[in-house]
Amino acid sequence: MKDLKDYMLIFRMELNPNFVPSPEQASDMRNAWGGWIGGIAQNARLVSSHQLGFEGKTLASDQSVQAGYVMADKQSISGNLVVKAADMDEATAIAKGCPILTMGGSVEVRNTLAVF
Amino acid sequence: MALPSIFNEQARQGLVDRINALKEDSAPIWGKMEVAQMLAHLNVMFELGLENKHDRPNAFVRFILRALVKPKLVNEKPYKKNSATAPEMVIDYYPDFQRQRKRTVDYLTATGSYGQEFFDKRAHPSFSRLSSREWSNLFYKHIDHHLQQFGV
Repeated sequence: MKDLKDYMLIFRMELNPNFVPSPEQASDMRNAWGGWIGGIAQNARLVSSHQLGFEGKTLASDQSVQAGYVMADKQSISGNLVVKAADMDEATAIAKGCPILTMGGSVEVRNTLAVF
Repeated sequence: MALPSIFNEQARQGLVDRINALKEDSAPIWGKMEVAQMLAHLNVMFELGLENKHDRPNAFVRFILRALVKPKLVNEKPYKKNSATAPEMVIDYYPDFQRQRKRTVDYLTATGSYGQEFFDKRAHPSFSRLSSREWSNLFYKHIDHHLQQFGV
């Protein structure tokens, strides 16, 4: 097998702290995320994932601190997931199954640099 | 109906006979995997269960997997056919059929040699501790699912 490298999938979506899913929506979301993450894990390709909350502060180089998280095009980072993949194409193929894409969100796939 | 136990020699022999009935050009009934990729995928399951070569995912992932994924993998209910348990992520990888088949059979033999007591309460890297029944279901159901996929 080819050497595998770590790729970070960065999730962005419109954050809505007031959204409370119906029980049916919640169950669909659990199944979608569980199926996707479970498939990656069963192939021993899942390294880590974090889901972000709604609290945030943003610091600038002059040490000033602004309340809130960074928004761009109405979207903000909502989480990430690190996978092991042979190359960028394979990491992108894995990312295509991400349920956030069915929720209006986006996924950015980035390579990570190895320790040297 | 209870699934056969992976710790039962006859049940294991049944799986081995079916694995030996696979041919290098066996085509899947559903999904896109090739037969050698399917066997390599099963071998990853054995690596996760028997060897310590894969790191544990972080705590958040383990929590998600224990809550959402483990119950479906260790119960007796068959998987849905064509379910995306494994996204088609083996696309670029063409392992050797004979080698992967031998590995699968060897892992089954090793599972029998270790025996039920070895597995009881043994920790899985993603799912934490499993009972021997859960280990058996995890292995048997997954193997049976993919052998059905290739018509044996």
